[in-house]
Amino acid sequence: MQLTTHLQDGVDIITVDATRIDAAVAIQFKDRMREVLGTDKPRYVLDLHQVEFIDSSGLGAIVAGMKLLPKGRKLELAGLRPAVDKVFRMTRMDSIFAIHPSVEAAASI
Amino acid sequence: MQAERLDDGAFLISCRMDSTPDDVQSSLLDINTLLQGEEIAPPPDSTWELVVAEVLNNIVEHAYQDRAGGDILLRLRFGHERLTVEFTDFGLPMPSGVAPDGALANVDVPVEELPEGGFGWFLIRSLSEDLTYCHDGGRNLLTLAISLAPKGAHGTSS
Repeated sequence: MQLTTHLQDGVDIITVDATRIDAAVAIQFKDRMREVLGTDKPRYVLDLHQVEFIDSSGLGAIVAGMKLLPKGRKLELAGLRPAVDKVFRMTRMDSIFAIHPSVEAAASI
Repeated sequence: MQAERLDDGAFLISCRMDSTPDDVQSSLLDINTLLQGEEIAPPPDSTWELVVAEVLNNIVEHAYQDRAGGDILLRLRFGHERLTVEFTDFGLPMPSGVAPDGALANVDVPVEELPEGGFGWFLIRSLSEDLTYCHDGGRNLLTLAISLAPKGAHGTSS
């Protein structure tokens, strides 16, 4: 489970370089998020465009990532494929996370 | 892992895995590989893998209490419009002997109180039908069905 970070138009983008966020990698994912998330940025965008499959453990790990940020700081999501988008919508987590169609769209806000 | 094409066109996959998240993941990857190019493969928007993953994760976490060394038997029958799945394990029974209802956790709460779990049974119940569970002679048997009909062709679930 690898996460890479870059700045796009001044916005911190965290890209998940994996096709799955599932129970086998959920703990690793949380650990990596802890490493890459600072406390001094107003928002981070998690780029999920490579992720084809997520289960409820993966969903929980992303929620845990959001909770690592200080109050008022946001973790936003971009590039959700249909199977990933469906899990967020079904569990109503789409009401918690700002969801952008792409990193470009997220960075232009 | 064994695969077999039946006379009625269905595709049957049986496998055995160890009670670890890694083994669950590699079994699901192997099943996906077996399905590639099969005429009977589920439509791309099917959520069958999510349902199967959630049940297997629950067996690892609850029936086997996150301990390796437990057997899980999985049998999938991919029909033209319906997948039926049988899960067998030899771990602890479900609390009070029944499969959970799967109520959706409340997400209308402050961020720091958001649930990080408890979505598995909600997803299983929402995306499957005809779920049965029994515990018999030290064995848990759970069966369910998943519609594979393309979107728009969905009948009412029984």
